[in-house]
Amino acid sequence: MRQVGGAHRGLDLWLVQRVSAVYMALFLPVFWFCRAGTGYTGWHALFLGLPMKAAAALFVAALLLHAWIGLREILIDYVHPLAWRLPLYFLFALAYAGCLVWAVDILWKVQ
Amino acid sequence: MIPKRRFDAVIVGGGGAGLRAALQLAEAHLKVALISKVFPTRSHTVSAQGGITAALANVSDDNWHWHMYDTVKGSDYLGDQDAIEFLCRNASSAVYELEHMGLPFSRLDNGKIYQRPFGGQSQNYGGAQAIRTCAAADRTGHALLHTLYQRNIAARTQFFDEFFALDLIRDADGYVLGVTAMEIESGEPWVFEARTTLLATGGACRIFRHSTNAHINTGDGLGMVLRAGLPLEDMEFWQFHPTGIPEVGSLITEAVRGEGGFLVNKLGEKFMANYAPNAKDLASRDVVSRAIAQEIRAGRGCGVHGDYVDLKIEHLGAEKIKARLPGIRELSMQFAGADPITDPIPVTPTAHYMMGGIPSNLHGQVVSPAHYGPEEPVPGLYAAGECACVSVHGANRLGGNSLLDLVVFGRAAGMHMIEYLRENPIPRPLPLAEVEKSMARLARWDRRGGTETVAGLRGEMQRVMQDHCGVYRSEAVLLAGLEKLTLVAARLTDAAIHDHSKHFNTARLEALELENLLPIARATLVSALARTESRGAHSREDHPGRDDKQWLRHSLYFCQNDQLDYKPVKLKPLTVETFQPKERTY
Amino acid sequence: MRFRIYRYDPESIGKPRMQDYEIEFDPQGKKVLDALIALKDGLDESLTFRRSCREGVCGSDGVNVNGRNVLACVTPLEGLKQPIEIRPLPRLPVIRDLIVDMAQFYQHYRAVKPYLINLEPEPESERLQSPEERAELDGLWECILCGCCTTSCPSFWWNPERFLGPAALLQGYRFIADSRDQASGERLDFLEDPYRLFRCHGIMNCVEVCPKGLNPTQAIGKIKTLLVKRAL
Ligand SMILES: Cc1cc2nc3c(=O)[nH]c(=O)nc-3n(C[C@H](O)[C@H](O)[C@H](O)COP(=O)(O)OP(=O)(O)OC[C@H]3O[C@@H](n4cnc5c(N)ncnc54)[C@H](O)[C@@H]3O)c2cc1C
Ligand code: SF4
Ligand code: SF4
Ligand code: FES
Repeated sequence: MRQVGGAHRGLDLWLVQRVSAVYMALFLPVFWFCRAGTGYTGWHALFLGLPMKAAAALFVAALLLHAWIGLREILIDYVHPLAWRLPLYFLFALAYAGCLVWAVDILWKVQ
Repeated sequence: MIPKRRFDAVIVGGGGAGLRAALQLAEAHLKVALISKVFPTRSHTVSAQGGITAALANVSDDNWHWHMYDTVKGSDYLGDQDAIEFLCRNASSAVYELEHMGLPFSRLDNGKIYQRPFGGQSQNYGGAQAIRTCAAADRTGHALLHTLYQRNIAARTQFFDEFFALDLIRDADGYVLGVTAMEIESGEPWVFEARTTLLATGGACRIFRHSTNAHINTGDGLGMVLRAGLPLEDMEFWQFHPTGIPEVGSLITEAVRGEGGFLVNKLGEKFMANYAPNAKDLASRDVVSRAIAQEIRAGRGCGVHGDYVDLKIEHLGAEKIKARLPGIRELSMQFAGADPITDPIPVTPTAHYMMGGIPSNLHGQVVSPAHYGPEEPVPGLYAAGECACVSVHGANRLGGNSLLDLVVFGRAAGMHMIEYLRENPIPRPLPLAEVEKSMARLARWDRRGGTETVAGLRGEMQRVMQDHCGVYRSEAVLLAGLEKLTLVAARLTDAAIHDHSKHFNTARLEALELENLLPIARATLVSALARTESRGAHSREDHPGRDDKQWLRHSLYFCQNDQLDYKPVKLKPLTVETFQPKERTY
Repeated sequence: MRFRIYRYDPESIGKPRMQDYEIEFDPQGKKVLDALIALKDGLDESLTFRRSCREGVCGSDGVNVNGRNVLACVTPLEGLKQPIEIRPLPRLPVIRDLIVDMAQFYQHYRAVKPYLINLEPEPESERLQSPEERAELDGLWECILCGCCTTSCPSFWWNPERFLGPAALLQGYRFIADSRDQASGERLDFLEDPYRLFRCHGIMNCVEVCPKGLNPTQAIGKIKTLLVKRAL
């Protein structure tokens, strides 16, 4: 078998996946703790400040990245032809990016 | 047309000896083929446990002269002293070389290679116990075999894994020009043509019913040599290791006693003190095996049938056992149902090592009487490792000397082959008739019908050897054994196999292996009958004493008419003084 | 005792099938390999399997017994559900009966350059290594290349050509961890790859089946840690 060096890839995404997981794990308890009251007013108050808006947006971004990397792993495992796999990556990336935009839009609508 | 490949050197056997020689040749940029009937790391060397002996003096004061003295004495003075000097003198460099190759030796606190005491080792020519055996936990053979295989990968040796060598190709002038072989997966025959051929096919303890050896140790190289009309040397000397697990045969290394373990009989007595007052449990293997056999005979064996003794190491403590003897603990729990941290291990003398083999010299050249003397090299043919008889182990091998033998003589053979290849650059024509003969032998197993089975005959042979050629021997018992073996061997002509597929036909392999085992068993009985003395591992009850006047000589067995010949032991070392034979006590 | 054994021979048995066997055999203290040998010697010479050391050190006889990858020679018969189902190791091409083609497995092993690389001139005696440095190699060098782990790894099933598999990665780390080796950087370069290394999802099947009690997942984790350390 011809030996070529490593693709020097994989590590970055693997790291991003770990880091995003850590961020999610940190964010969730904080979020739980900050949740002052229930009902619309409580929620409204919580998301009024910019820090919370940003933190929540980051959470959604982390979640989506994490999910996309996971999905990429699954695609590498199961979908071997490149002609299928690349469009699938792209489609999901697009869909996830859409989700992110949507989430940010919702968050920033809270005035 | 049979596929033919041409190389500078073909090496039969991927154990320690074969790999070491191959490495020497491959690093000299010669074309080397290494054929092995199993993937190299499945060779029997992987089972070696205790270690490899070299007087590094990392723990106790030591030098190669003392190692040499111990080896000569251990061999019961049957070892050739020139070869023994060569072995011991080169031991340290051979071990350092292994370390440089990456072998993961256990280490002392100062970072040097760990050494442990083994049987038969002394300081100052028979003084205090020496600590001389270098170890990688209790898996030294594994470490050694894998390291050598790995180096061969780096050196780009060409491996032919799962190829079974059939016969030597020898021309009318006596030159060996390669081997015939069978690719096991396809069942197709091949011809490996080479100006030099090295046999490193390992031991043959599978002639016995109970042995510490792997199933693959069927002495194929010895069979090939006999068929080529060449002799086998000192075949009466088989080492019975004192501590094998009863029935299964798995070995409990001498290192267990080296680390402080001891043997007890059913009365709880440490009986070795009665047989070897100084060395006790670390006496030479033949001595300890006979002691155990006598305890068992005297009714002091353990267990319901009183057929084993106990090996105790509880007092070492769990820590040390786990660090130094993890493999032994695993084996003992798996095959004896005993955890040595709390229970004694049942052990009994078990066939372990073949001191005899293919007669060879210091350079690994196979030697045979031909025109002018008993030590004439067979051009192009080499042997190293357990299948060879240099002879460094004489009548009894010391623990840790075999792994050393593999690397020292594997290297020496490789170096001499390089020289031979330089001096003999032109290939000689291949005698096709010889190839045909080998193919005919292979084709014989295509026949159908047959009233005998290979497994049946093998089992009977093993029983005969177990019952008639054990630790103690006598003329009557040996004669009866030879008679029985003759009958078993005669039935081989009626044997057939029932599997005629070409693909990975292991039934056929076992048949071919049996054809090698039977003449080895015969060589053993015939040589043992003739030697009317007790020396090392060969104990004749009817001739209990050692007889240096008549028997300070090596036996040579030829299969034509069971002919025996003898050659003198080489008492003269290369540079030092001879160690004169004297009484051997431990 | 009853057995169901996978049979295949390109010559005489066209399509793989399971064959039932029954023999009188006292399982007490005996291993699966003993039963296979008894079957071959007594009932059916054509039953084909590899074996050598019969004591769990050579790695010849990895097979799948009742759904689990094991070494036949150290697997006790007692306690196994009957009929005992014996198949070749999963995912590798079968040559015959219980014998698989290990070429792919060995190729991955060779790919990690499983030998010490040290270009310094050799000293007169041994290179020194402290017991602590040497302890780093424990749990790595003992691998017997039996293939039980790699053939139980789903990531290997999915990408057998490109994922090196636990055994090869364990050996890759064996040399990275050796204080005497000088090629860690090169080795890490080779391993940093979405396929060779990063197909491992920490499923730990490999750890569960290794007959020598080794832990490839941990070794893989250590390679990843080293990669991260190097990247930051
Ligand atoms: C359990 C045990 C423990 C031991 N412990 C120690 C120890 O601690 N220290 C020590 O010094 N010694 C020890 N020994 C002895 C030592 O291990 C052996 O003598 C030595 O390993 C033999 O090595 P070898 O290279 O000659 O042959 P092997 O390692 O037996 O290799 C033989 C090779 O030949 C090949 N072969 C055979 N026939 C054919 C054929 N027809 N065609 C193709 N290839 C063929 C095989 O495939 C194999 O590769 C021990 C032995 C045993 C049984
Ligand atoms: S931990 Fe990794 S290597 Fe081991 S089985 Fe799981 S995916 Fe395979
Ligand atoms: S890691 Fe364990 S299971 Fe895997 S090949 Fe090595 S010994 Fe076998
Ligand atoms: S036969 Fe060697 S590991 Fe089972």
